[in-house]
Amino acid sequence: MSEIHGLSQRGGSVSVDVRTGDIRSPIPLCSALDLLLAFEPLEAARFRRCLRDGASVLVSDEKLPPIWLGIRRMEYPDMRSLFGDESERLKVHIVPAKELAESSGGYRMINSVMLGAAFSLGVLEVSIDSIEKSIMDVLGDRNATANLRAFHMGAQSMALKETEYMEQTRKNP
Amino acid sequence: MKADRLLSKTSGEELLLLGNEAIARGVVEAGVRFAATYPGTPSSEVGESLASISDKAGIYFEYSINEKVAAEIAYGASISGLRSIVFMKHVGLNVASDVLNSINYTGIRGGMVIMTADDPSMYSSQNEQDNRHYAELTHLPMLEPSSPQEAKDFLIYAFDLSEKYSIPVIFRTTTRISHLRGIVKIGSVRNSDRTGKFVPDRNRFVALPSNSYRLKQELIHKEELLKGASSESPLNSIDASSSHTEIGIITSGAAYNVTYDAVKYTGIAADILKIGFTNPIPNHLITEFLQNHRMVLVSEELDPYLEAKVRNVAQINGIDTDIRGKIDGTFPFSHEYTQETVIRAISSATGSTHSLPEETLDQNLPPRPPVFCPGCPHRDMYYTVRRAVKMSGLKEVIYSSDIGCYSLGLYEPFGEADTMIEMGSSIGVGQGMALATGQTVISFIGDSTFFHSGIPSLINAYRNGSRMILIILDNGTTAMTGQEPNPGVPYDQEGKPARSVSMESIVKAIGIDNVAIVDPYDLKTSLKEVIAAIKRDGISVIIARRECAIIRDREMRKKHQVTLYTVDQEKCGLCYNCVENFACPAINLTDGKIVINPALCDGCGVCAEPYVCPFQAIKEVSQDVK
Repeated sequence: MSEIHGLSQRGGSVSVDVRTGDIRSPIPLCSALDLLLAFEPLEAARFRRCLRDGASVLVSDEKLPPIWLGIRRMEYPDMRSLFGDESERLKVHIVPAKELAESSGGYRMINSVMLGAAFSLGVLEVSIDSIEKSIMDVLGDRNATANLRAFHMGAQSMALKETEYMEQTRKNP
Repeated sequence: MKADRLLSKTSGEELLLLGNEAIARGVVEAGVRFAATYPGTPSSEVGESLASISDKAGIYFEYSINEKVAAEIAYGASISGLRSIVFMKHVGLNVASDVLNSINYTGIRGGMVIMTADDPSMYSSQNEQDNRHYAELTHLPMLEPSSPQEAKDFLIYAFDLSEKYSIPVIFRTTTRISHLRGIVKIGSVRNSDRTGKFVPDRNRFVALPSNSYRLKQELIHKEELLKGASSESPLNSIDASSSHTEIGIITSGAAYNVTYDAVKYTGIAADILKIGFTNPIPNHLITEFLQNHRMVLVSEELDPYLEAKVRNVAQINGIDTDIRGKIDGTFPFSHEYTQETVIRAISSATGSTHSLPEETLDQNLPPRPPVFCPGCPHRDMYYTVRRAVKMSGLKEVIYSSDIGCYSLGLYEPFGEADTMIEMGSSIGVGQGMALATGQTVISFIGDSTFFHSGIPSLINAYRNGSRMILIILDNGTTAMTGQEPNPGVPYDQEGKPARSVSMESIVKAIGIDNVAIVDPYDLKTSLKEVIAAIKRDGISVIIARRECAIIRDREMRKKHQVTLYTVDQEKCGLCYNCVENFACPAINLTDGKIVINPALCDGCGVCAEPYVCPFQAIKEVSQDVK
């Protein structure tokens, strides 16, 4: 697992790679990712070509327009145009992460919502017990409850969203 | 992360740790008593971890004014018998190199480690210099881990080695080791009952020519002994291919990781010699490895450091193994290595073909470069200076910038950085340009950088009669690297009260009379002061003082206070000044309207000022907080 730090709190595009198995390098081969957890739609689109065919993309639907747009009096690109050409190749799931986070305890629970959504895909090679234990270990008693709630809301949301999204991609091939 | 878990686990237990956290744990296990640093990515988390555990672990730890002083402090502790460590980013070692190039001669007593975190691909640095050359330059031993586990274990080895040969040890990581997270098996803590006691040895610790003449020979003698230590060291190991192979690869550190994965991907049979003890290199091991293979690839990031040494070994021993590296063009000289880099090199060296996809990031999307945070006082000052320059009708102004968050003033819409080279450079470079051109120079420097190395340049500018406008962006922290304290801050790394140094007193003591202190949120006063400075001759210093928004936000959250701003669409005249020229990431254009994202709004309220919103359309809203 490798992180590129330094600019993480300065609004730049920040990526973290997680790899498991008999590997040494934290940096994946380009175009070989199995799962992309994107906390912003534009960033999901930016990294979409790094995914292998048939890989899953989970996208938080919260748009954070970069200042580059405002300086040009431009607006955020249309969501469908961001993924349109990849909807055949990839499984794109839009997660209402902000809404779910806020209803489970606060905006900052977005991470746990996304983790829950990722877990429900069944591609993470970890058990739910292990995730729950880690949330409790890492966050401590005070924050664990809300984050566990957020995790489960994220997981449940996927069951509902799947069919909805399938309809949407069929409409916009 | 709760850093105290670094102490709570006992020997044999496992933790998922960042390379830098593993190093902090290694400091504890090795019985180190003294640690000093100046923060810099990618080394910063070592300090962050030590700051929270040093008291409990009985370690003296400080954020020093700069790397040179940090290295001197660690040396002082070491020659007084205590184990000490000094750590920094790669360019920090340039600042500390004066120390390094003398203490290699004198040697040390308590084990001393100098950790340097290099930054291939320059994720957060001005260059990607290869600090392995410092080991050659100084004749000091150097170790390089390739995983968090090794980072901890090699560090402990480094202290033992340092003490055994009375020599400081260079410990080199790179971004992909310092920021690599992996499982680390915790070891036992060596409790040191040593107390610091300096025993004079004037033939050794005084680097006068008479001593140094003799000490240089001792250093070379130690290096000879260390060659043997390297050849026998368990830090060097071979991953032997399951089948007999004619191909070998010599590698180290982060390059080892991508090489291992690349070999697996290509399916070629190759033995991999991983070198952890990289100065002096293990001559015997390399000789044998060369003799056992028809072709040897040297896979290392940045300069052909190992490759040149490997070629030397071959030449001296008359070995005709086909050696491939950078010098013959098989591997690139710059940027961090990925699996693709190594796969391409293997293909070109062995004539095998492996198809690699070309596409990576989509470059056609709106970019997202780093920006000033919502509420950041730097934005306000850059906004003000830009206006002041325009209002003064000033043409050909030169902006001399420096290292810190405020380097982002380079980017649009501000564009207020024409030069920026290294820590403290804004004042010296600005002085040179002012003297050479007669143009108006506006220099920017942050508080931590001013203390780090700006003060001598300002004295120099005053002494030599330069004309200069210096804006010190004092946000009361070393923000970019993680909000570490600096000498101007009235608290230490644990938040306890500490003595602070008055920057304005220093500036005035130099003899500079025109010193103004402004609040960057107060756009009107700030503008007045900048315009006055532009009109004035001589040196003007403006201290723009307002705490870092990240620190303020943290405090506000603790107090459950949140103020937000919103746009009154009835009043908004759509002049676009807020998005075009103020450029706060919380403000954007959506469906033809200016809107403020409440999740990002910091509540600073500066956008509501008439200088930013002439229509007075931005107003405060109250917000309930749980």
